[in-house]
Amino acid sequence: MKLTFIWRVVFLVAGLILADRMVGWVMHSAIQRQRNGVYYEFKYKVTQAKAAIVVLGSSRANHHYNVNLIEEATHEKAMNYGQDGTSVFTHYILLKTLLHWHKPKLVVLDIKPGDFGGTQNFNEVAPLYPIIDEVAMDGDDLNMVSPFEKIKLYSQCYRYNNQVLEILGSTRGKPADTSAITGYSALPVKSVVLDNLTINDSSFNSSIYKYFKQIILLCKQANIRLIVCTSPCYRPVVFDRTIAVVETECKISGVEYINYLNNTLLPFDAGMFKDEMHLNTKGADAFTQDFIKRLPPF
Amino acid sequence: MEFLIFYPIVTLGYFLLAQKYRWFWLLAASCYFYMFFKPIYILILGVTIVIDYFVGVNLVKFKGKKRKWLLVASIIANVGILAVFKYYNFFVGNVNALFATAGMGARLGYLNILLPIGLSFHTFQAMSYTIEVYRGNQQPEKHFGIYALYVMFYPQLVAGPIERPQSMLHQFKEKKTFNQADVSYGLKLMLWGLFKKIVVADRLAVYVGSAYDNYINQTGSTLIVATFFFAIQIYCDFSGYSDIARGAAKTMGFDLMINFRRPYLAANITDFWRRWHISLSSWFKDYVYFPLGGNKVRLVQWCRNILIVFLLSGIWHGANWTFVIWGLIHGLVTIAHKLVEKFDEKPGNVFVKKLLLLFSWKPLAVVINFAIVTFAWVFFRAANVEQAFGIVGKMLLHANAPIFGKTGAWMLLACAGIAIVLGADMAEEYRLKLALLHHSNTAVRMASVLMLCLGILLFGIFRNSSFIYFQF
Repeated sequence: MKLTFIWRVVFLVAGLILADRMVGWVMHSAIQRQRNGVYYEFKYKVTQAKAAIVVLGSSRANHHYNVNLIEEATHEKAMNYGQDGTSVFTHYILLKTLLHWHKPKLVVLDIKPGDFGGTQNFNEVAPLYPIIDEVAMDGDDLNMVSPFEKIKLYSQCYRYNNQVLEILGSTRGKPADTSAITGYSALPVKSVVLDNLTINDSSFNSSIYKYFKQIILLCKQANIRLIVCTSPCYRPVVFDRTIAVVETECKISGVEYINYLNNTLLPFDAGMFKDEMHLNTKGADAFTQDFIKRLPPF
Repeated sequence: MEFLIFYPIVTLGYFLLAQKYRWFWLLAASCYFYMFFKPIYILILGVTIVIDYFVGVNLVKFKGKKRKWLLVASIIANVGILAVFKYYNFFVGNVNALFATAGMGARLGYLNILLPIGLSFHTFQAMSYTIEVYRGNQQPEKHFGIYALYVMFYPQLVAGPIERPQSMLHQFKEKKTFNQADVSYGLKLMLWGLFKKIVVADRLAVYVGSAYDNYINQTGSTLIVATFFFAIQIYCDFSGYSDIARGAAKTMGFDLMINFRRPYLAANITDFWRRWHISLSSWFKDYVYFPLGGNKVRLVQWCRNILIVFLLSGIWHGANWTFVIWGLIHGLVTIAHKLVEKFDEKPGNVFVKKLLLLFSWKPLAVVINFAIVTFAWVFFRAANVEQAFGIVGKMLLHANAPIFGKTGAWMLLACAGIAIVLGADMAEEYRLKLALLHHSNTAVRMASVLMLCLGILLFGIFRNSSFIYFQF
């Protein structure tokens, strides 16, 4: 074995580390210089918005809670952090990151039927790495994503995996109007055919449920009021293990739980829905108006 | 990721150990590798190894009909295991459907079993050993451990290449020394394979999955794009695996056969099968096509032989009618191509000859062949025959409709990945000096390696997705 081979390997490894750090540095600077785009808005919501009322959840939270109506009614700044295709795990990581920047007065957590069921790909949190890089997730959280996530994150590039073009693109163009950033995204009113198959789901995944309890604990420790809510869905619910567990856990922990499933008092008919699980803008406004009535006084 | 820990330990251990212990080290590592997926299934592999080992040893002791019966027993054992685990439920499903059609109440029970990973690959590799020993092309291996290692060698255990005993067995006995050229070549091959899998195949899989799994709500043009993406996806996925397997073996000094030779640059279907999954197509050629008479028979029998080979190749891939149809399409196109070739050899109609000459213009022939192969992939990818025909119908009747698009950045990265892979293939095919990973200039080589590493970190899809061919 020639010595040159070892030197080549050393140079290569050193070059790789250097290139990784350099690209990481470029991306980090790009994040600071963003002017618009999805990542800019998300970063703004997390680090600068400092909202008093925070809505967490998946796409249902994103499309159901019209925070403009909440702001008008409460005269407090409200922000919607709902993210498509995310689970309670991501909501927990997001809340932890938010608390690093400021302490809201109220957290609204939207839980949907089946949230604690089935298998969950915790890798869903990866797109948030560029936002939460200042507040590293601890070892246990990273292990949920993958047993090797901690090792992967030694790379400065990896945290920007698949976000490079979006982040670089957002450093150009017109600056976004931060006053218009609310996080709420309304779904259009369209006539659609909806099926009313009943929900009867008894699946349960304790590792997801664990993060629901962590959210309750985090809010208690930070002395933040937490409201857990299940917003309306078109399908009638016969039984849902997630909802049953949430009801019990909220009762035990003294957390307010509002359940809109099977709600016959409000006119949540087909005209209010975009699909079986999502309200359209008309439905979202009707739901938010009712939800506001249940909010505590500020 | 687990492999990135397993591989250096095994390779380092291999070079640190004395030659006489190396076979045991590799065998133990291969067992661990296989048991990582489903431990109990190592017993199935063990049974076939023991049977084929004893058949191999005894084949030279017997003569005449006894030898033949011994070979038949080995083939029945191997094919029997394959039949039970891979085809039994498919058979039962079809028989039950027949009963139902005939109005009979009888029902056969299904087996609640999972298909052992890579079963078709190691079964075929084991069968090639007994056949070669029977034919006298290979001396039986007396060392049980070395024979077991031939079947179980971890880089090619779960998805090939399907090796022949003549090219592998002797390699396990040779003393391999650390060779920097081999290590460097092997690592670069693995890196390129990883790039094809993680950056290109897994990205395209997202689009293909969302289009095919919800094909009813997709337009024909979306399904055309998805099918094109699947053609690239399966190539990058499978050839990526083959590169990783060959690279991992090469770093220890082992040479595995080349499984892919730029298949999408083939000018006709026969050429395609000389370039695609070479280890399987040559297996079928040597052990099915030639024994049936190959092309040294009457035209009708020749066509029959081609059809048998492709139908078997289809069913080898999976117990589903979609694979049978996929094989049938390839078989029929191959027969058509052979007939055109035969026609071309004879003097005849000048106009038809000129037309054939036009279609044999390489760029046009490559595009036509790619279109045919891509069309056949619809049946390979679809979950069932109904879905496959539904997709074909939409592709033909609703092609003039908007295409479902991911974000601009996603599409840009997908197209860039496809361009890199196909560009590399074209550079190799036409011997352009663009093989940057093997460039004569050290700085260019190192820069290419760095770029690939950064490309994987920045644009790879890290979702623990498996290789497509692991299921076969």
